[in-house]
Amino acid sequence: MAPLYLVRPYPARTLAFALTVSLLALSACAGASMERVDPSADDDVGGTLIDSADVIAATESAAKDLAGVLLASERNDIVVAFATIKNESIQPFNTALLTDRMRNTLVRQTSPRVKYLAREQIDEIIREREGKRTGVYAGKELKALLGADYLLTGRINSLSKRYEGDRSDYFQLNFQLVDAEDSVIVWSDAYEFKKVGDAGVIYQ
Amino acid sequence: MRAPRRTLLVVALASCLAGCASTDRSGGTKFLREGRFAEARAFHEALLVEEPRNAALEQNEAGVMALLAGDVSAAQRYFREAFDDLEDLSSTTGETVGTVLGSAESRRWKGEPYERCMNAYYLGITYWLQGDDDNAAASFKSGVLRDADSEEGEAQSDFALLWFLMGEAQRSALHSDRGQAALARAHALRPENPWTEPQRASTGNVLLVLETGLGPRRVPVGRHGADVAFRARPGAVVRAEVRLGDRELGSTAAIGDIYHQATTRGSKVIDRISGGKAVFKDAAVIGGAVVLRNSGSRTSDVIGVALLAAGLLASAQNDMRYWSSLPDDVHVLLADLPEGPQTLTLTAYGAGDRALGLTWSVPVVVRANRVVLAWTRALPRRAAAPLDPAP
Repeated sequence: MAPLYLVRPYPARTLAFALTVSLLALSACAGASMERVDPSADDDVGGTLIDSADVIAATESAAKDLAGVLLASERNDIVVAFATIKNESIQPFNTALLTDRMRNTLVRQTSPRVKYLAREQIDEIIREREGKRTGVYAGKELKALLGADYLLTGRINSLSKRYEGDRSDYFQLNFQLVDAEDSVIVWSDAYEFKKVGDAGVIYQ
Repeated sequence: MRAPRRTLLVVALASCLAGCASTDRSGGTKFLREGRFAEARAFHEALLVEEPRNAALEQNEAGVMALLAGDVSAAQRYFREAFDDLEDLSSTTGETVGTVLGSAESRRWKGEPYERCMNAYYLGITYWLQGDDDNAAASFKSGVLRDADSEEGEAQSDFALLWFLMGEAQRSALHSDRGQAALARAHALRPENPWTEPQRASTGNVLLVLETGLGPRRVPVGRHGADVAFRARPGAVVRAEVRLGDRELGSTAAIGDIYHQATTRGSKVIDRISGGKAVFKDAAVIGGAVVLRNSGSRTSDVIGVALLAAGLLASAQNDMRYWSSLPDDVHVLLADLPEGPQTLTLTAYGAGDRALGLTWSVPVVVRANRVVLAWTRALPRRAAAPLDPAP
């Protein structure tokens, strides 16, 4: 007499296949994926605005060029302050991404011949100085706050077009070194790019 | 008798599936109307976790609630995330196929052009309230471009509110032309608004922005709801008188008709897809019924039921998701005030210049050589919580 099955038995190969597929499906849902990528390379996300690759390319080129100019000077006491980079583009953007990266490269390549001022921290510096001068903190050496010989500044501009889901964006990232006494522009550099993209058909 | 039974089964199944279509999002509006901003924010934050495809929508809603409650930095985080999401209008093949064959709401929410513009508007407002007029101008400029993306013709870039705010933010941030071109465009679009008049628009160090009413509601119309209509939800406030102590500063004037923006943007690809699905739905149901009625074999039974099922199960309804906490209109007023902390007093008036009995204060810190922003909203029950003045 044949055995009584409530459910017809599946062949072992079918069960193994089903198990493998289930495990693969489960492993795909196990957690959020993460992959470390090169910030100076284009990514798969796309978009036509400024991204990390542009920040790195723009600051790399400008800082290298400016460092060469500063080191070529016969002076050993040049003082540079970082002023605001104006954003006149269509992209809300934290311009500290540009100034911080410029500063890192310039300080590494040109200090101590060129001095850089930390104007963003001026309030904390003044409090610290007052603490030392009033005896709250012990101070080794009292120095005057330096004024800048030059201001490193810049501006982001953009020109954009949109048409039925198509888009193109042209950006200019401009940097300038301005004499803080007579306002003469002594150095400038620009990085520019144009990107095009389009919208998926279901979003047009 | 087999075929009618199967038909009933298919109809029942289709009804069940149709019932599980979309999330009920009306709770947020209810809390908003009652001035319970924290609960409204929590409501949308919960939906943000539940429905990742609606992330940008819930971020925008939560952002409005945070702003109404006076939490500008949280609001900015929400609007910024939604801004980045809405910049990416690409779609995967799976998403496209899912939208064409299934529900229009299966795609990620990217909003209508007017909603994308309003995301840029709110991002700009939060930047400006935090003293960053540079990025405020960038946000408004981006909103103007999103408006231009909507269609060809005269409606392109006609969002006077964004042009005006962009011009004022550029004037404050000392951009190249001090915002003159943008302000001129705003005046050309809304010449009846006295604050867009060139002389007035280029003076003043305080810009008051007042939001009124609730933005347009999306409703399904046409066969199977394949078309979309908008219902306006104007508030009672038509204007507000603004004072600084005893000094009268004038009356706010409307510049941002959101209903107009929603209803002048032409058709989109999704409308044509939904229209096509509605035709298919009708044809499949009728075809299936005809085949079943004249069926003489098991094969034609199967074909008839399959057609009927395809017709009943196909979802032809258009995408009904919309940003529910938007205002109906936005008003502006410019004033020249002494530097330092100031408190503006607003008194609301309705139709026929009837006093509505709604008076509230908006603090602002006036700074030298800048145009500072004071933002507020008139809601049915009470005005938005006073915001901390910008640093």
